[in-house]
Amino acid sequence: MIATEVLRHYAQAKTTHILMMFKGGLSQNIVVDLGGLLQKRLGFDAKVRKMFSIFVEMAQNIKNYSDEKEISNDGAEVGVGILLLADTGSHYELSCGNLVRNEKVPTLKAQCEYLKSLDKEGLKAYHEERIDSDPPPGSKGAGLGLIDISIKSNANAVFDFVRYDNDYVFFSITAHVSK
Amino acid sequence: MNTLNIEKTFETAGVFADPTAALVRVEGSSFPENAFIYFAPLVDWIEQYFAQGATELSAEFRMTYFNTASSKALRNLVKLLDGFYAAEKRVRVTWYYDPDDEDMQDVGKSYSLAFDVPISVQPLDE
Repeated sequence: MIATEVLRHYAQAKTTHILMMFKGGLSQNIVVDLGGLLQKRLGFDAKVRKMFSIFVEMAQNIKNYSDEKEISNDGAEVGVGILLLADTGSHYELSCGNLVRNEKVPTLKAQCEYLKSLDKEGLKAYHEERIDSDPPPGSKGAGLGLIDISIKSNANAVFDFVRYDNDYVFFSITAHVSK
Repeated sequence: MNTLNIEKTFETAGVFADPTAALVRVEGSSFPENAFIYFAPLVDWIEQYFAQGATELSAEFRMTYFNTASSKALRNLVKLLDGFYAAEKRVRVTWYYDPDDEDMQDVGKSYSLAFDVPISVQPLDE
């Protein structure tokens, strides 16, 4: 990479107030280390913990559900994606993105649209209902990540889908937490 | 009945269970690879403890942070304790939260609404 390209990345990170960015395979070890880096940089008070919890859900979502896979150093197959943390002055802004195969998009979209239709109290009630149910088919955790991200970002999380190629859609989430 | 003592790490909670003191304690942060596997030894311990005739248990939770998979595992623990309470065991739960952390307080409150076992939701001392 030549200096002008490096400068372009630098300038973009600067104008978008990026605190941290990671693109690649998210093994559990990487999630833990990124979390450690985040805490070293920002501490761990209640505001940071709220942001941290969204960060971990986003990271574990990519790890478990991204349809772009790679084999991590420890031999496990993990999902690939991008995680961004920015500081807008008043808020922490968290974004993530990963590829999803076309055939999974309608179900995911419907889930996101349902979450967007709920206010914070509605989200909390839905969370209470879901936590005692079996996780949805194909879930590798509790199936609560997107609900938790929605609650912790005060029902303002943005879910977005853009075409990537003939087989994949790029699924992205952006969430804000006040500082 | 043995004492269970699992040291906390950055990503996993400390787990302590003492039959003599009739006490179980879970503390710290929790976002392990698999929360259900992580808490399984404590689930087994509690089941054995009551299977061997114990009649009383205090459970203390002092969590700083946990992910959604751990939230389900922790809730299952409280559900398990609730089951023994329903079976006439003297079980009580104390859920501690950082006074600045409304989310953690909400979790304790949601447990006390969902379960019959006495759950005291307490702010941690500074």
